Amino acid sequence: MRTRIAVVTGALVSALAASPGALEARQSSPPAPLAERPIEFPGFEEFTLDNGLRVVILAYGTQPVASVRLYVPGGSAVEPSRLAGLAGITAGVLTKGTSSRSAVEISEAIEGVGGSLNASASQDFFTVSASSLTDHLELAFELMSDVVMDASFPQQEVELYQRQVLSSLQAQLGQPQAIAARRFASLLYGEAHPYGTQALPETVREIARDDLVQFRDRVLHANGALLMVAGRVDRARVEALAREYFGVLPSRAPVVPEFPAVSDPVEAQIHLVHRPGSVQSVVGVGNLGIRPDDPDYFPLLVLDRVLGGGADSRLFRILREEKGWTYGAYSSFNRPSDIGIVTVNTEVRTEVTDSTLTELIHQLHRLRDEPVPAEELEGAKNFLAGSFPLRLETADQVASQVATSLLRGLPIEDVTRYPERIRAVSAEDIQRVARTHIRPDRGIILVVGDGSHLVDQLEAIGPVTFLDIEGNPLTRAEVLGEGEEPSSFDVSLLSPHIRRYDVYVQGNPMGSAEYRLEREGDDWVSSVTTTVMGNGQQTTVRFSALDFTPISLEQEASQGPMSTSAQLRVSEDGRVTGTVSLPPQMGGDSELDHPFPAGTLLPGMDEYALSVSPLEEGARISLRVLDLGQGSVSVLDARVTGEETIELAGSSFDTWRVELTGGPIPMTLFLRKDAPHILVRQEFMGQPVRFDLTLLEER
Amino acid sequence: MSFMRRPRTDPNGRYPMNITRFRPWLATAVFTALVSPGSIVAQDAPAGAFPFESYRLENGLHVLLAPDAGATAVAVNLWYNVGSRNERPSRSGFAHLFEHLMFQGSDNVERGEHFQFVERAGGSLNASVTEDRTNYYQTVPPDRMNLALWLEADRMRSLGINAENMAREVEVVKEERRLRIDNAPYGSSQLQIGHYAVYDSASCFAYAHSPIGSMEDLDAAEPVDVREFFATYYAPNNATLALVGDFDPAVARELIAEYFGSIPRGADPPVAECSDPFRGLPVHREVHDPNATLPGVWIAYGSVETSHPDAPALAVLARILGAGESSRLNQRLVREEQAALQAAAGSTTRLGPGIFQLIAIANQGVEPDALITLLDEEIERVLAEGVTEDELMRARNQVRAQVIFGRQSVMGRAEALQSANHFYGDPAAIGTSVTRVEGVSRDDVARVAATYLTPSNRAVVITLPGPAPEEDR
Repeated sequence: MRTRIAVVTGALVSALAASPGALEARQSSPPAPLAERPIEFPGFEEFTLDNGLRVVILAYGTQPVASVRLYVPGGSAVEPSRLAGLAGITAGVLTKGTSSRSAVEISEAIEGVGGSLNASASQDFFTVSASSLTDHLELAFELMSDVVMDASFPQQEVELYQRQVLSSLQAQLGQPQAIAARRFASLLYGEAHPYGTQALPETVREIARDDLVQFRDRVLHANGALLMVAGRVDRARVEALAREYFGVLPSRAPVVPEFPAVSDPVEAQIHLVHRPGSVQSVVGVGNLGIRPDDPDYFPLLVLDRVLGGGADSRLFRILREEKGWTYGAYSSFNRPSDIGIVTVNTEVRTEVTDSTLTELIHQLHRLRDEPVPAEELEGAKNFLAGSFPLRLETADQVASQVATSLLRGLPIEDVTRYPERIRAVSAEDIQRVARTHIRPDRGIILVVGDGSHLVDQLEAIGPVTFLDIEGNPLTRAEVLGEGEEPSSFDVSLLSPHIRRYDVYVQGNPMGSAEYRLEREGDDWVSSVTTTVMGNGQQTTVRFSALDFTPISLEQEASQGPMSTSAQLRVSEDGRVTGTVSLPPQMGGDSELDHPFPAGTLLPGMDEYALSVSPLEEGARISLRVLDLGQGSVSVLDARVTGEETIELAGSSFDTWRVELTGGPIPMTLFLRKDAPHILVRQEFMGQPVRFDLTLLEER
Repeated sequence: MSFMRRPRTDPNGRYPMNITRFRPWLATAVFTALVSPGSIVAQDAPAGAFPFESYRLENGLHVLLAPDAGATAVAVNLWYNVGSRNERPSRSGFAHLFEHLMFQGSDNVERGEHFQFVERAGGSLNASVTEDRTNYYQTVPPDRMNLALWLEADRMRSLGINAENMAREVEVVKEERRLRIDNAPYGSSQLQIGHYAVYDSASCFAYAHSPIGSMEDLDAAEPVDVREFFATYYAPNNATLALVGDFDPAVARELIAEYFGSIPRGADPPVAECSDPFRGLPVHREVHDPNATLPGVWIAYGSVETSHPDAPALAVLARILGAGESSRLNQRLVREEQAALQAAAGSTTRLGPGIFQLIAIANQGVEPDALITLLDEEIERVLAEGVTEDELMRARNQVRAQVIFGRQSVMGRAEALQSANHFYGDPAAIGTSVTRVEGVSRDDVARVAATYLTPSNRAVVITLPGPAPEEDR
């Protein structure tokens, strides 16, 4: 049963190595490699419990540490698409309480011995793990089995975790690289494939405690699962612990995800994810890749290193060092349970988007058309094979490689004889797998950036499909911002008024705000004064009462003895100019002169725009607002996500709940259903601050 | 290359704070185990111990070899006994500047090639600087140990220092300062509590300034100053080379002699001065921080050097007060009172006198004074009631686990050897990392609390969100 495999690493033995006679003539070039030192890949043992649980013991390492990991098939690929995000949330709350221990008791128990306990979900697997000193191995088993078998999912913990997931999801939708990764998956796999489905705020909000319980009951079984115990451990003892703590894990047929057949498009497709205000574009090219058992894995690994694995690879050298278009450019591929994907991507300034795309495609073709030169091939292989010993340092490192291989049902020699597999790859192999797995002519070309600057660039290359950041289709006109602004905001609905708000911090009143909207000739003038915890801010914005055109902004803010101010004016030729005054140590006065595309709002106007927008269940409104701090345009996304009745100061308001994202802090607004949709309450995500309406005088 | 490489954000992803960066070299009692060159630690060694040998080349280079046939890689780890503590007034930031210059090329290695050579061999590398030392390290496959040694020797012998290199790296270091201090929430508060507010600048400039350096001093740096700094501190007699992993010690000795043996010895470097460092205490200071959104309270008490007999008890006290979810400060300030977003404590000891810190970031709407009151109440509770046996046991368990987990990798062991050698004057102190702490009693904890945590022995720094009336310093 016990496998022991000797592996030899390193390049060829060199006769020149370490010749002691070289003292006088100091070496002026790096020494050749020393003699190879054989590395023995650690052996492991495997047995199966009566309930079908597969147990692997990897006794390895000189320090008395141990880890226990339970891998169960069934990650996000088996969650219902309407509850996307469920697997991750189930994992997150799994360690937050059982019927005999509270969340605090669990963390105290494991912390008290200097150990750790975690659960997580990937596409294909649900994983629970614990690590500790070998002395405390039993406690690790006990806590892990408690959360696996008896998690209680306290309602309060579910809500807390859900809020954290929502915040991080909002943050992701603000990051172009994350948007690109999500879109690539959806476009390559399609929405019908589990890998093409993404968690969204609405699917996360839909998840209830019962869903977590059901998901756990459906997925956490012994059959198909793998319990990996690694470290300085005793076989007999581990076997006894495994039987005691996991022998009762129920067995049932493993949950098998349904993977519909997928294929590349018949010809390359260009998709543009419109992110207005972006000064950079993410540019990527991808196609479907390999299945876990594909023998092309090793040539593809070397290909990936040659193309875009690191700072020494082609994309980085050409796009960054030679062209100076980007900070970094990379390739990647994965190997999940079903078919994987192969992609290249980089983030460049908007003007060079088309040139970058052309260069990326050229580099992909080059791999198909020319063999990789010998020296470049050796460099890539040396890196991959040479780093093998560094990945065998700890029991945990070895355990994760072994577990991946066993769970995917791959030959273990691919792990134990990794350096040989790498060294066997030839330039011909790379060209062959490039011709099979690199298919720019049938791939997905994805660009995330400001469509108004990109449509012409990209349409010169081929037909373009337009999407928003969540993947919803847009029309070309919407991307170019043609004909949408005037109809969006019916400025005639505004009326003069005064509003006052109390500002609550953790439920305690800490300040107030007053909004005043007055008519001056053909203009609306809005004055807003806020005072919170001794810091004041006053903003006056002027805009046209005829068509909502922004005219000017004056802002003054004070914090303690310091003050900042800004005076801005929008010019007819589409620029915003003026002065921003900061304290000297923050940069002092500066003149501002920036492009101000049609349809952009000045800060403070967004609220009025929303108040005259057509709000209804599910409505989405996109606002472009100048960001004073950055001098750029941010795109705020407002979405009606429900309705709520709010009682305030003796009045009752029927409101729409509106989630506003894209600004510095995501927030929830409660806007009166009757137009104009006055702000009744405002909450900030992740912060205990709230604005509540206390006075409303409409004229 | 950058200044202090440990993660800037805490594991919960909240605010970048110093808490996770308290150095793990907890302290020492007096230890007795002396390991002579070539000796082997017994099979039933204390937790964290491993065999090694220690010798010096004629030029003074100290060498520590810990061959381990069970390892799969080799750590080549070089510590220079120089940090910001060795800098002179108006020349701060030199130690940090060197951490960058050392990658700018030497006689036989072009700029940037150090990285390329090591990476093409499958290795990894890095460097860092603190108040007390500068380290350069690479982990390589066993057959490329010679490459790492050759690269380190080439730059020790012949680092290229010219106006062009310097100008470029001065700009990089200044950019790093902007990123990590001037533009980061709580960056300036951390400098205050770690250095400016606590240590007296006249009697202990060594610790009264930070390794990151000041913009003015960096601008004023001349190649001649920098060459002098290199000649003084980057000499073999001021360095310790540690090799840990799968290698033949005879081959290692030969290669080290070949590559390093002919590098000339330097003059003995001057000793960094630090006497009566806390004579300016107590101090109360406010820092206006335009990058912070919440008020913060930072308290530092003057304490002791790493090798001081009281250091282990201070480390245990810090853990009980403020390490982890179940610590006293987290339980009280974060969970019960919900006054703080985050609260922690740590004992930072150094070659010279160190500090004991308490840190709390306020929740929205909580005044800094309220946090100080809560922190003081927790200190009072320790003074009045001491700590429990259960808390002591948990702290011991945590230290034991941390030491042992840290020694799984060859680099972790190389760093442990270097720390033991540097801070305790004896590499064999790797064997007492755990026992030092296990020897701490409840009485010891109560005694050090009463000795060091006194109102007259502390600096209090308050972070006020928002811009400052004038530059704090």
